[in-house]
Amino acid sequence: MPSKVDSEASAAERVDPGISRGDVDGFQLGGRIWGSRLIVGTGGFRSLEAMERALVASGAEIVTVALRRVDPLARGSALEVIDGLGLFALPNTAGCYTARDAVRTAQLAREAFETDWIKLEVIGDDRTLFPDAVELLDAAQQLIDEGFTVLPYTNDDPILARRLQDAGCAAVMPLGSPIGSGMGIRNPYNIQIAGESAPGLVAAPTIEDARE
Amino acid sequence: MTIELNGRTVELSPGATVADAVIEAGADGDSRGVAVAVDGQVIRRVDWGKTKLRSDQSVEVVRAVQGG
Repeated sequence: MPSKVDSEASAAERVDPGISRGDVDGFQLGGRIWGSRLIVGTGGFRSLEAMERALVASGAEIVTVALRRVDPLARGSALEVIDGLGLFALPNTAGCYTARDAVRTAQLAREAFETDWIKLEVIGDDRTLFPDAVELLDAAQQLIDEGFTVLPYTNDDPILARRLQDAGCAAVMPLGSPIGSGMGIRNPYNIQIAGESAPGLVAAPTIEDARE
Repeated sequence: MTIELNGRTVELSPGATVADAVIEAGADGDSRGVAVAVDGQVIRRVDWGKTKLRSDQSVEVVRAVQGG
């Protein structure tokens, strides 16, 4: 399926295929140049107003959002806030435990957000929220075959990161520490290796996820 | 006609479409950030109004929320 995101991009410029990473002042990701390397999540805010203030203060251009069953009683819309700020809403597959669920959620997200970008999350349990490596790689391969731009939340495992890059992911997003733990980067050596061992670093940058 | 809509059993008129299910679910079908799957298959927005539902089908209507 052709990408729809190019036609509506407001937060990034398209990248000339002839431009290398060193030629531009910005962060190249998924064929586009971004002014900020920070990707901000939208969970945990007490109100949409607080979320909006944080997004503005962060300077981020990419903001992750989730999909859930419609709640008729819900007030306000996170997406309206994000759209109003001119930011890029990056849908995720939060809450998925299997490749099958993640692929279906990504397909729903493509329809809902009119983008083929997806932050791929396939977790193994709800205690650690660690990724399930087997299901994650399976889902990534399926989604890449369907034309998605895939950014997987991964373990701090350099080999898995390489497998994801080899599969064609636009980036890998290894966790710094368990989500919500606030422990910073628990295994900096692994994160370093994941970055260094990526021969396709320009095409598949390493983005640290879940540091706080 | 009985369908399962977001985990609830609901009654819709015979001939109801996906667009009707979206309204029944409480979503604003005109706004961005809403998507629908019927029996696990995503239905494109342009097809909502012409896709008729059958009894016992399972419909999921989702929307963008904070998270992740």
